[in-house]
Amino acid sequence: MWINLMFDCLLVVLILVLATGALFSTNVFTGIVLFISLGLAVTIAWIRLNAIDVAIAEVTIGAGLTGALFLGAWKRLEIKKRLQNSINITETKND
Amino acid sequence: MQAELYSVCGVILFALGLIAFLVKSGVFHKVLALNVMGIGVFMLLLATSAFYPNAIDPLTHGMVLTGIVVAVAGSALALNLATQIDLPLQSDEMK
Amino acid sequence: MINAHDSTSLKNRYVFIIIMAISMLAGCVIYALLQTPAPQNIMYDLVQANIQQSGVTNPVTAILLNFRAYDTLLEFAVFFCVSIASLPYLDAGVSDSSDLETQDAPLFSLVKVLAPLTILLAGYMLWVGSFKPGGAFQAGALLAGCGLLLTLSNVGVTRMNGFWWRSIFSMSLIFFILVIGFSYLHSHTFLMYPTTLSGRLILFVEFAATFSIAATLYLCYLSVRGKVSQGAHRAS
Repeated sequence: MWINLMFDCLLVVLILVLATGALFSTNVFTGIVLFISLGLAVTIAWIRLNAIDVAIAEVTIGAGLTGALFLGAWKRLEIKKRLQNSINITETKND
Repeated sequence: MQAELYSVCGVILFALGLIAFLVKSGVFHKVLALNVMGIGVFMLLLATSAFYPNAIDPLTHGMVLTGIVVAVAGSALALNLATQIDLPLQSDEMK
Repeated sequence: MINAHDSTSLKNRYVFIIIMAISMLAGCVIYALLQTPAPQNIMYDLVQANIQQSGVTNPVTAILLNFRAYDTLLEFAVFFCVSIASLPYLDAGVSDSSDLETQDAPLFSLVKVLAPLTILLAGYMLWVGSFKPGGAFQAGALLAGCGLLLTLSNVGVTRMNGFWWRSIFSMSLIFFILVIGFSYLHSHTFLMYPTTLSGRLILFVEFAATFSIAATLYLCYLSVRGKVSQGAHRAS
């Protein structure tokens, strides 16, 4: 009985640490990767709470698809930022 | 004991997400914080049906399933808008 | 004259106030949560008493598609609106090929094995939702994941404006409305399925919903990803 409780406590600590890392990291890419890991840890929490349908949906949609969505948007904004930086550098060079 | 633990974890996740939403700047941090707030609310909802582990509450499970899918769609729309407008990706200072 | 030190300390003060306020809010909510008595457990018994009339055995599927079918109808409408809102952002990319060309050999062999398996698994997940955990949402998400895998290895769709794509987006709503009309003819009540046919009607609606959900989630990913130049097809 106590091992169930210990596993639940450890899982809750893992979820809170991952959430803090994902939200308060300075690097956006680190935050996105930790968010995908948070989705996987939360899936185990759903299984512990006897919600199997929710767990299947969370692991495909929440962790997989949201992670891919964020990574695609991050890549696109990185390309835009790099273009802007190169335009700024060429403008200051021309001055 | 398990249900109270997960419901407290859900509230803490929601609070962490809300703090990150208000404090951090930059569009990725805000969308990540909204998603973490959603995960906290789902954990709180599912923990109320864990008081009776043999008799799950299928209405709550259905609501959380709908919520996960709608949250993904909302995040996709938010990221669509974010990649189209020309604001900087991350401002240089906090707030 | 405000120098940098003043503005930084003002910001720090705001951050401190926000953290204090939200911590107090969380503390009050936790205190209220731990004081309330355990919720009464009537929903499981109610559902189990009426589950024979719903045509499926899985209580979550019965609730989503029979007892609370109106909520699911509105959710399909929300998905339809999301697909309409995401369609204009779809860039006609450079890579419009249908050949599986990628320079990563592990990815190549993985996709050749995984893509048909994922489609098979999605079909299984749709069918097993009647009596075990599963259902339309999970199957649709699996199909969207398969589409994502194919996009990452240079096979993918770039134009979803045609007639057939739009009919896939609206398939779930159309089939659901047909089922509603058919059951109205039977029982003259909105959303009351005939009892002998309710299992088959639920499977019919779930079949349409799988394709709709898969197409909408895939469209969401493609519209966020945008145009990928030809040399960078290895990127996300």
